[in-house]
Amino acid sequence: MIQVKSCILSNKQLTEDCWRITLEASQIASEIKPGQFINVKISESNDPLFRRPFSVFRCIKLHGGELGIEVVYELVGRGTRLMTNLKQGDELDIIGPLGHGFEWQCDKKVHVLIGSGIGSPALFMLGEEISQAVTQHELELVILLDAKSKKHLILEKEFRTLNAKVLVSTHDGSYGYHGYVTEMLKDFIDRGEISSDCVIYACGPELMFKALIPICQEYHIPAQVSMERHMACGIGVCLSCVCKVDKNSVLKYRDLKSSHIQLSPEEEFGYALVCQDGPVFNIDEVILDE
Amino acid sequence: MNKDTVDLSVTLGKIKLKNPVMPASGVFGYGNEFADFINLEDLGAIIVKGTTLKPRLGSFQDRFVEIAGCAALCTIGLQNVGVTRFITEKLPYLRQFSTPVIVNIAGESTEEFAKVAETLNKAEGIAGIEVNVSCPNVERGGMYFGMDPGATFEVVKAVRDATDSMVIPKLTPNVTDITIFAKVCEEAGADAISLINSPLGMAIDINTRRSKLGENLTGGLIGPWVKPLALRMVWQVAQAVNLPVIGIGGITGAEDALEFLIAGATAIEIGTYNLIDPGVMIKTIEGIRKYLMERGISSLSDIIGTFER
Repeated sequence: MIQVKSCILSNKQLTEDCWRITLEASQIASEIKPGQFINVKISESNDPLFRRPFSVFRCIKLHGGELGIEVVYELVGRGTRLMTNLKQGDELDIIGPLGHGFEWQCDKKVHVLIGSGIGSPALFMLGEEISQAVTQHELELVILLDAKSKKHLILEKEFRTLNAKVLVSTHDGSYGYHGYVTEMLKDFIDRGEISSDCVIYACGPELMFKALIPICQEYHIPAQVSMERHMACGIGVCLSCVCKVDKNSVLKYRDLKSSHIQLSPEEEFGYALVCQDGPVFNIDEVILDE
Repeated sequence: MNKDTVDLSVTLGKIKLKNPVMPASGVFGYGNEFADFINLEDLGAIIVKGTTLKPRLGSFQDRFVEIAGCAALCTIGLQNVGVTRFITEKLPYLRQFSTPVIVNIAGESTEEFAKVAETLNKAEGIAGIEVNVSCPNVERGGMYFGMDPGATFEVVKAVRDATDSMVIPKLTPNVTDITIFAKVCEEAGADAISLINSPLGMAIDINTRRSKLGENLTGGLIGPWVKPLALRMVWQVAQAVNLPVIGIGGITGAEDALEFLIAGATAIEIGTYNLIDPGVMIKTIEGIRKYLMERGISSLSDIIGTFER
């Protein structure tokens, strides 16, 4: 991971509440893997004080051989509101690439990407990678995009450039499948239109992950989910961004990666760091409360 | 005057620091997490994550919430690997540097503090023990050790008796008169005093009417907001005791650090700002050096405690 000053190349509004910012960041772009994130100091002042973590939508080639990264972000609070005011030529202090991203599971032929709302940008780089291998390895790539309504849907055009079947669900039925993306997934699996012998990669709200769990259990589908937490540091020291994981995961992370994770006294769970052990976890290792 | 002729070293009890800047416990992990950003050799000292006798799970989820206006509330609940794993897995990495290592310790009883100190005393390469008295004393109904002068004395004395390293109690600001606690630490045999730990705070979500820290309810208030409160207390304590004082609270750079040094601190710890800018300690060291050079002051010790009324 590195800390760099990155020049803003553009910052454009995509929908009512989503924006796309393009940054010049060759070194981070050359190292970043699908599902990893960057941590951005939005203001030089101390308010907002902390960096804001963003998944990277994609890396792009710039004129002159430099590389850029694109982040699609949603306007949710003070930090992102300030971010919408940033202009071409402004500089941002960013740290990246951070975290443990998606792992392309090679033993499966059918790969299903599920992105809901502002979760979908985090899946694009993985989609690009799998898309490039579809023909050679006889894979099938299915991308499910989910939004409240048609006007909230983002990046459909970009996902449709991939060598993939793209399906859209909207909660109000204004476009594509009427309902939640998890309902669409189950319908398509039940009808045999998506093979249950697949692997799922998902990014979206935790409620969506909760709805995914019974589907994954019923059809024995492995799934990787990208978790979200408020973060103070993003580099694995403050131990703020924890997520409950099961006993086996505690032992795995304790031995392999995290230097901080512990098992609860009853030996049932522990707290993994979303910034370092995640943000991507296997769905069967995270414990989603309530 | 050039860069090399400015002497930034300070003497902190039994140890000499090449400069007065170190990380506060809990924002620096075990040091290796910062190796991509800074050279640990450049720091005055390294203070590692609060360490307890046994590993600790930590607080519930919802441990951190930013507060508008340069602050945040956080409650980590001393999640840590425990003293045994610290010594076997974390300490060897830190021994490669000449930078002194100070271990922050915590416990639920006086006996636990003493046992942690005793265990660390057998390990090589530990220059000091910072005693986090801002933990609930289970034997006295959960009241913080550091809010009770008697319990503070007992804990500091117990650690003093258990170790040959420097003993540095870290005081909580959640008391009426912090100088009483500083004096108690001096009587108990402390070598230096660090302050302040974070003041306790709270934030409520008005929609759910629950704490923004979930089941944790309250948390430590951190960030630049803390500085004026900390500076006042450091100034008071520096006058009240004959021990070196380490200033902590809201430091974001050289200007903040210099305020603490002028107020009477011999050294400073940077906490929260390390989470925001991993390079802040190095920038602070360079900023202090520049301040001295520009004023033709050859030694940092010439400005410590020079506050004028």
